[in-house]
Amino acid sequence: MSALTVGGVAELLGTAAVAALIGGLAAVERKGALQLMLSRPIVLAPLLGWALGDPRGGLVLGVPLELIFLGGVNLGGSLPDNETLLAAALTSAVVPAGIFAGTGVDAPLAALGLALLYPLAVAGRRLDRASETHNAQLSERALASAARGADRAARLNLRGLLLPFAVTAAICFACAALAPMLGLARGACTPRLASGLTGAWHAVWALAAASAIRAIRDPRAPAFAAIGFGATIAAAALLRALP
Amino acid sequence: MTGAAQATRDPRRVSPATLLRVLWRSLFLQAAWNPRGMQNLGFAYAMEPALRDLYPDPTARAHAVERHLEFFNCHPYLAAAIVGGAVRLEEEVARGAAEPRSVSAFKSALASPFAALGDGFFWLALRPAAALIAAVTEPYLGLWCVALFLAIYDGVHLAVRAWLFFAGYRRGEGIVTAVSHAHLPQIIGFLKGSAAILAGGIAGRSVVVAGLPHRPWHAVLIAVLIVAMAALLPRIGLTAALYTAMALGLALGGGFL
Amino acid sequence: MKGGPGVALIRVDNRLVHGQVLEAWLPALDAHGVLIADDEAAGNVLARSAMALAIPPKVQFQVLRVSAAAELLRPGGTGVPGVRTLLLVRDVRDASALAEQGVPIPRLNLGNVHFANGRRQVAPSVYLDAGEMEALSRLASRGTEVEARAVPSEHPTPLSTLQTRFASAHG
Repeated sequence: MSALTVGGVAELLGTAAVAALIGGLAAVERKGALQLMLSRPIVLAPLLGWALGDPRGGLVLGVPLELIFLGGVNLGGSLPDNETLLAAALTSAVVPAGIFAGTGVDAPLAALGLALLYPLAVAGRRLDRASETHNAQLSERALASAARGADRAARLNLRGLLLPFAVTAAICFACAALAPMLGLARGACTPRLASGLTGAWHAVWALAAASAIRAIRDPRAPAFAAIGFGATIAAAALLRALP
Repeated sequence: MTGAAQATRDPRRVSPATLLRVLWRSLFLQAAWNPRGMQNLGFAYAMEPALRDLYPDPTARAHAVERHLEFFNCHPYLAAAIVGGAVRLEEEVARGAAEPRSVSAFKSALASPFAALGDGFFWLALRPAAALIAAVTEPYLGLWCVALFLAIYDGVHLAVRAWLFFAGYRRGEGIVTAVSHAHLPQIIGFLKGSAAILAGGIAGRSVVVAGLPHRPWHAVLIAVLIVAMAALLPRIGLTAALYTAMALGLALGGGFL
Repeated sequence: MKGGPGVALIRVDNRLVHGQVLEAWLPALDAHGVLIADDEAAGNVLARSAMALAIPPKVQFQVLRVSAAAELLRPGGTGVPGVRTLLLVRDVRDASALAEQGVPIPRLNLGNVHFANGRRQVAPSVYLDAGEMEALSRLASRGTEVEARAVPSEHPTPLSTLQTRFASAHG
C-alpha cells in the first residue's frame, strides 16, 4: 500500500480537490444556474468518474441512481431528495476506492458505498433549506438597497450559489479523502460477503426499476411498463433458446 | 435609420447585445431562490442589463429594479418567455406608453400557468423519457449514452428556452397563443407512454441480469421485489425502500436465507 | 381520498393553477375538475387563457368571481358540474367569504400564501397575518378542519400548530 507515502497523500489530496471542484459546480448547476442536467446522476457520475480516472466506474453508479431519483421533482417550494449531493459524494468515494482496491467499481463496492452514503440524499434537503434561508437574507438585502437607490442591488443574486457550492465541495473532498478506507473495506470482503453485496446491488437495480415506473405520473404507466417488461423477458428467453 | 446608423439608436429600445445578456442572465434565475420572493432576485438580476439601457437615470433604474424584486415564481425554462415579455413591456413603460403596473400584471398572470406547463413537460415527461432512453441504451452505447441523454434533453431544452425568450420579447402577451400551438398535451402523452414502456424494459433487464448465470430463482425473487417496491414506494418512501431492498438482496446473494 | 362528484377539497393557493395542483393534488384526490373562485382572475383575460393552456385537456376548468362561486356551491345551488372538483381560492379572506355566503367547507387546505407585510411564516410556504389567523379560527369553530401542506405527500400541519407558530414568530 503506497497511499501512505508523502507522494500518495499528495495525490489523494489532489484527487479530493478535483472531486470537490466538480461536485461543488454540480451543486450550483442543479438549481441555481443553467440547469442543463449536468448535475443529474447519469451525467455527473461518469463525468466525475472521468476526472477521477474511471468514467465507466462512474457510469455504473450513475445509471441506477438516475432511475431511483427519476421522480424527484422540485414543484414550487416542495423539495425532493438531493440526488446531486449523493451522486457526487458516492462517485468521489467509490471511484478512487475501486482504483485503490484494484477491483474497479464492481457491484459489491457500489453497494457498500451506497449503503454508507445514501443518507446524504436526505441530508441534502437540509442543505437546500439552509440555502433558501440564506437566500431570503440576500433578497431582503437587495430589496433594502434598491429602496435606497442602489441600481445594482440585483447583483446579490449570484451570492446564492456560494453555500451549495461550498457545502457540496466539502462533502466531496471528505469522501474522496476517505476513499482508501472504503477500498480497504472492499479488499477485506470475504467471497460470501462480496456475493451478498452483489445481491444487494441487484436489489438496488430492482428498486431503480420500480422507482422509474413510479416516476411516470400517468394512469397508463403500469400497463405500459408491463408491456415493456414482458417484451424484454420474451426477447431474453428467445435469445437463450437460440444456439 | 439613415446611413449613419450608429448615431440614431432609439434609447427606448434595448440593443440586441443587451437582449442576449438578459437571456444569459436568465439562466441564473434560481441562484438565490428563497421562500419569500422565490425567483424575485433572479428575475431582477436578469432584467438589469435591459433596465440599464432603458433608464439612464440611476434613481429611476433603482426603482425599476425594485419593482422586479417583487414575488415571482415560474418554471426556470418557461420563465424565459416572461423575461422576454417583461423586457418588451419595460420598453413601453420607459417610452411612457404603459404603466409600470402592467409589467407586474403580465408577470403574475403568466407565472403560475407557465410553471405548470414547464413542470408537466420538462420535469415529468422529457427528462424521464430522455434518461430512460439513455439507461436502456447504456449496455450498447456505454458512455455515449450520456451524450445521447444530453443531446435529446438539452437539444429540446435550449431550443425551447431561446425560442420562448425571443417570442416573448417579440409578442408580449401574444406568447400565450404561440405556446398554445405547440400541442404540448399530445407530446407529453407520447413521452410518458414511451418512458413507461422503457421503464418496464429496465425492470425486465434487471430480472434477467439477476438470474445470470443459472440462478433462475434469483430472477423470480428480483421480479417479486420490483412489483412489491412499485406498489409500496409511495407509502414507505425511498430511504426505507432502499435499505429494505438492499438487506433482502444481501441475504439472498450471500446465501444467508 | 377517492369519492364521488362534488367539491373534493378547498385549497388556498395564491399561485392558483401550477404544478403542485395539477401534478400532485388532482391525481391524489382523483379529481377531474378545477374551479377557481377569484375576482382578479375572473376579470383578467390573459390570466384565464394562460391557465386554460396549462390545464390538461381531460380536466374541466372554470373561473368564477367569488360571489358567483358561492351562488353555485351553497346548499340549494346547482353545485359543481358532474365531476369531482378541486376548488381554489387565492387567500384566506376569499375562503371565509365563501363560508360567510353559506358554502360548506368541511376541510380547508392551505397550500401557498406568500409573504407580505404583517404576515408571519407558519409553514414552509404559508405566511399569514393576524386577521387571517382569526378568520381561520372562526372557520374551525364552525367545524372546518384546517391544515397546511403544499403537496399531498407531506404531513398536514393542523391549525393548532399554525397558531403556536404564529404566536412565537416575530412579525
